[in-house]
Parts: sequence; structure tokens; C-alpha cells
Amino acid sequence: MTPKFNHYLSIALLFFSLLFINACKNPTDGLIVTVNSDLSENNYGFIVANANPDVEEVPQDLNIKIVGPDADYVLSSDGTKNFEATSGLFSLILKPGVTPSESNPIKFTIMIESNGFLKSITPIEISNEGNESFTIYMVKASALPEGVAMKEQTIALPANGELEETTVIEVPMTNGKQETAIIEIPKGTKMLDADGNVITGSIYASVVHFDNRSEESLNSFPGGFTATNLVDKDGNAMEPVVFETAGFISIEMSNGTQSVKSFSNPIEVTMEINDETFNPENETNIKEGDSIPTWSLDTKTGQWTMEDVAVVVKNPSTNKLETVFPITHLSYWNLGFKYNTCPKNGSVVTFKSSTETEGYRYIEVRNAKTKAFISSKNLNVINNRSFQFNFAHKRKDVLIRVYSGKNKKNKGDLITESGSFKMCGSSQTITIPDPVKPPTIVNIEISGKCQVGGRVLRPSFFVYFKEKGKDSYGILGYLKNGRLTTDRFEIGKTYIFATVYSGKLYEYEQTVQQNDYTEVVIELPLGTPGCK
Amino acid sequence: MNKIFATIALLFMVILSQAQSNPLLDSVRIISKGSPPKPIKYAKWGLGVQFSTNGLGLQIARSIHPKNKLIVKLGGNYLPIKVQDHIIDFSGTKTVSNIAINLGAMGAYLDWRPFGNAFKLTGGCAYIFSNISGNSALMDSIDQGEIRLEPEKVGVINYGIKTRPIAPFVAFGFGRAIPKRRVGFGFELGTYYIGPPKVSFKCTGLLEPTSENEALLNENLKGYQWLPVLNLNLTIKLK
Repeated sequence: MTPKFNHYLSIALLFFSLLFINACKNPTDGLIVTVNSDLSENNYGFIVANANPDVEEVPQDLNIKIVGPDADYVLSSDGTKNFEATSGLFSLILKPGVTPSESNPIKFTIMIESNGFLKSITPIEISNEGNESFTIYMVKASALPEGVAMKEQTIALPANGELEETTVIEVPMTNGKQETAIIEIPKGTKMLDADGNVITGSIYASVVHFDNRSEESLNSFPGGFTATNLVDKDGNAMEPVVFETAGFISIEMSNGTQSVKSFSNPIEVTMEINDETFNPENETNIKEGDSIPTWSLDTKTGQWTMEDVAVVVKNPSTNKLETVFPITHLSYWNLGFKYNTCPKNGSVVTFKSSTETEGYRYIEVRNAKTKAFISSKNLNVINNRSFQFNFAHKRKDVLIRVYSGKNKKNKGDLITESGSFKMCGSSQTITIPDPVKPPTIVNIEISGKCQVGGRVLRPSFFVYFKEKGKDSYGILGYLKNGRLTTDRFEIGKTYIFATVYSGKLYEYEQTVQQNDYTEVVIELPLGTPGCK
Repeated sequence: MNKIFATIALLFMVILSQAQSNPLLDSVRIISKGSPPKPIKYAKWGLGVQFSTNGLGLQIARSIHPKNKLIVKLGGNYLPIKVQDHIIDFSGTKTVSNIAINLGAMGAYLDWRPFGNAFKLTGGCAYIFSNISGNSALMDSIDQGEIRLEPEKVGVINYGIKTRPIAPFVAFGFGRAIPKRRVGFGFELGTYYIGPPKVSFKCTGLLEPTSENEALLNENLKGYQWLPVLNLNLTIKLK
């Protein structure tokens, strides 16, 4: 081998090798770390709405507390215990690893206070895994819904705290309400705070009476009619029941610094009764001589106590049915029959639909015989989605109405109505008919790009929406790891989308002009959880 | 860094190859003054131990040419490397990795000494053992509010790189597979053509969508179709 040959060979090899080395890319060029954010399998979206559908005002500055046996498992969607809402929207999750089941349901109570609104107490019992949405109706004192009336009165208490004259507070028959409620506080009664201290001075009393005729009134029933946390007057736990209310009242009294909790002597409540109230014990309408239980609600724990049984009498002067019963403390008081429930084998309702798209619809459960309203809910009616009645009336026949709208205020059109079925032990299939105009299916895919590090987050949260300038927020669906498909949009319309995270409202306006929004990338600010 | 190292190594090779004109190294023939050249007896078999960037190995060589210009070799090398609990800090986020690197190949090769001296060109074909597999995860849990996300929940990145199993091999080098004396030394610089490596990249937990990078990684590694090898051989003449 000549030196010249060696020289050329070497140069050629070196040149070739350098070309080869430089032709290769860095293996990690363009690699993006993408992180899902579905921390929990159990996500709950809440809308706090005004019980009066004619009033746009949404409860603001909500003070939310979660209490109850399983409150420790409940977190805000950001993983903290800071329960904050904006525009009436908030969402909760169960701690990862907590698995609710029929044998091990998760029980907690949501207490909400907002200036100008009656305190809301909503017991929640979760016995299945998955995502759910809830609407909590709050009653604004200055804009009461139909079937609800309020009487405000000032009572003067002298230095010794003894009431000098018998005081009567009568809630009038206004706002469509056809019955009255009367509170009578006997002379000499002392009012006591939660620590038993005698309260003196000028007492502001507020009594709100709810009838059992109006849907808005019934929607305002604290926590809904299924009660799972209840005791008898001796404090013994009772089996879950479903109330058939004959009316309920909320009584609050305060001198501005101390709230009245109890009285030195019982005070008397007289409640007139709708004579069409159904008595499940004898399965006829209520009549003179019937007995009806009285219940009080502990507004700190959401626990109902069966206090006594009142006898129905006919008032000769008004010719109306009424009951008179004593109360010793202030809270919500319910005059209600109780149905025994089927805690384990509530009927299963399955939706059949030609679309495979998530779609929350406004659903009503009504008495199959009387068509009377029982409850409402927003449910996802995607094909084959099932739900089961929990703690349902053992004997009650019901039917379900499915509306095209997203909430009570915007029911939309009646899509379908089921046949009559028992709430326990049966299964019911409800076929959602195809709409006349095929729905527009819109796919949404959102990524959040962290400002530093190039990391991408796929967000998971409940998305709320409303048509711009028209109505209040409804549930659009649960955006799971950045993806959501919906049939709720009409091409060409402008919508406002919203979600609440760590108490902050994020709103986004979009005119829907296409079926796919799969490349939506939002810039996430520094400090966003998951970007750190 | 790797590129700089490779460039220096190649420069070193060039310098070394220039040195091959040194008659001391070009000692295929023994010159004896005043007497006719004595016929050289070429051994037919050789055995070698290989210290390679592709592992440690053995080879057996058999000459198929009267002057040992063509030698068939069968050999293999293997080196498993395990990296356990290797901690890497990514901008304050510590990850722990476990990586298994298997180096190796087994094949048949042909050495050709075109000039009869120590310079040789080698070609062959081998079954490639080399592959990399590993996994990485966060070292510590992450707290989000009251939720503690354990590293397993955040996710594990499982990765692997494989090549096509059969790969042709070319090299050049110096030194004989069947040494002239009892013991010889040589080296080869060559490369296997392994084709585009196949990357598997699967993430679990919250990192699951990061798996979508698998196609990107395969694209990025598409250019890495050659596996360069440096072999240092210690050879023994058998007979």
C-alpha cells in the first residue's frame, strides 16, 4: 500500500464519517412532554342557580362548606380544600383512590351561604363511580319563586329577654301560594343562642313558607326529597326515606350579633295544608285526622330529625286543613310524610340514542298518576348511559320527561316521555328520538402549553356554556384530558364557555363555525398546577 | 460532545493509517540477505479475543487462501450494561432511571488483505444483539393541593431501541486474524448497517399522551442507520 493511497483512503473515510455524523438529528428534537390532568375518576360539576327562574341574578360570593361523614374525601377540583365558586359555578372531586359503591357510598353535605339568599343545605350521596352534575337552587329573599312567600318582622326583647307580648308572624298567601303559615311566640318566651345565652334587643325575624304546589318551591326543598341522614327524636339513626312534603318553612331570627337557636318554651307553628297532598300511608289525599310527621333540619350537619307527629285538623274559620305543632329551635321545618326507600335496587334507566355524543339534557321525574313534579336533574343521555335511582320510593310509580334544553329555565322542547314504572326493582329504557334536523357534532380538543419548559397539559374539568347574551350557564360536559365531543351547538351561533378553577372564572367566547376544534392551544401562565 | 469525540477518533485513525507505510509494521515478508527467500509457512487457524465497543467476544479464524489473504472468521461479542437508579435533574425535577443496554453481535466475516500486509478490509453479516431498554419515572411524589401524586400515578416512561436483527458489516483495519507469530494484535474500525432503529416509547399514568412522541422519535432516529464499531483484537495462532 503506497503512502499516497493510504492518504486518500484516510481522507475519504474521514470526510464520509463526518458527513454521516452530521446527518443525524438529536433524537429528542421536538419531543414534547404532554401530561393528562384527570386526577380523579369522580368529578362533580355544580351550578348554583336562582330558584326563581324569572330572575337572572345568580348567587354570588358563595361561602361553601363541605361537612358530613365523608367530607374529608371531597376536594375542590384543584385538589385543595378551598371551595370557591364564581358565577355560581364550582366543581368538586373525590380524592384519588376513593371508590364510592352501593355498599360504601360517599356521603357529604354542601352548605352554601350567600348574602340575600336563604342558606342552602344539600346532602349528597354518591354510590357509583363517574362524573355527575348537580344544580343547587337558592332562594333570594327579595325575589322569591312561585309558591314561596316571606314575612319579616321585628320583635323587641327587653333587658331580661322575656317577650312582653305574644307575637304572631303570619306568612301571607302571596306569590301564588294558597296556604299560610303562622308562627306564634307566647308571652314570656326567652330566645337563646347556640350557647344558651339569653338574647335581648331588637330581633329581626324572617319566616319563609314553601308550598307543595309549585315546582320552584319544591326545587327549593333543602337537599331534595331523598333524605339519607336522619334520626328520630331520641337520636337513633333512621333508614333513608323520601319525603312527600305538605309544605316547609325556614325560620331565622337574629339581633344582628347573635342568632336565635332555641326558645325557653316551645313556640307554635300553624301550617295550612294543600288538600291535594297525597298521603302515602293510606294512599289517598290527606284528610282531617291524618297524622303527619314533623322534621327539623340541622343546618350545620344536614341531618334531619323526626321531631313529632302532627294531627291534621280542619280550621272551621278558614275551612282549610292545617296542623299545629310546637317547635323548640329554629331551622328548616318540614311537614312531610315519609316513604320507605329501596337503598339497593333502585330502578335502572338506560338511554338509547342514535348518537354517541355526550349530551346533558334537562330531565324531570314526575308522579306517573298525578304528573306532579318530583325532581329534576341534568343527565348525560349518550347512547347506553344508565342511571339508577338511589333510595327511591318503594311503591311510587313515576315517569321521566326528557327535554332538549339544558336547565329548568331553558327546558327547550319535550323530546320524549317514558311510560310509567316503579322506582324500585325495575329497568326502563328511554329511547331518545332523532331530532328532525340532524345535530351538529363538534369535536373539541384543547391543550394548555406551559410558558416555560414546553410542557403541554391536557386539562380536565367541567365545561359550562351559554349562548351569548341569552341565558344562564348549563353543563356542556366534562372535558377529559382536553377532549370533549358535543351536539349542543348550532353552527354560526356564538357561545360563552366557562370553567372555574381555584375559584377563578375562565370564560371563552367562540362563534362555532366548524365541526372540529382539535388544535386549540391555550397559553398557561406560570404557576399553573402541572406546569411547575 | 459525541461528535467531537468521533471526529478526534477519526483523525487519530487517519494519522495511524499514515503510519502504515512504516516497514516495521509492513512485515509480511522476511528478508534474508544472501540466501533465497525461505518459504513462509502460514497457519490455517487462529483464535482471538475481542475488546469491542460492541462488547467482549471471541472469534475463530480459518484461512482460505494459501497466503492468508482471505480469512473467514466466526465470532461473537456481548456486553450487558445495567444502569440502576440513575438520577437526572431536569430543571429541578428529579427523575430516576433504570436502563439495560445490551451490546453484542454474532456473525461470519471475511478478512481480505489486498496488499498482503497488515491492512485489511473486512465484510460480513451478523445477528445483532444490541438493544436498549429502560424506564424513567419521577423520583419524588408531587403534591397538588391535598392530593399526593405518587410517581407511579404521574407515570413511567418505558422506552426501548431495537435494530433489525441481521446486519451487514464492513470495516477496515490492521492486524491479522491468524497472526504470523504466536500472538498478534490488531484493530478494526467498521460499521454495521442496522437500518432505521425501531423505537418503542410508552408512557403510563398522567404521562400517557407523551407516548405520542414515539413516531417523532422514530423519525429523529431514522438517520442512525449505521452502528460504528471499534474492535481491538488479541489473536493467537493455532496451527
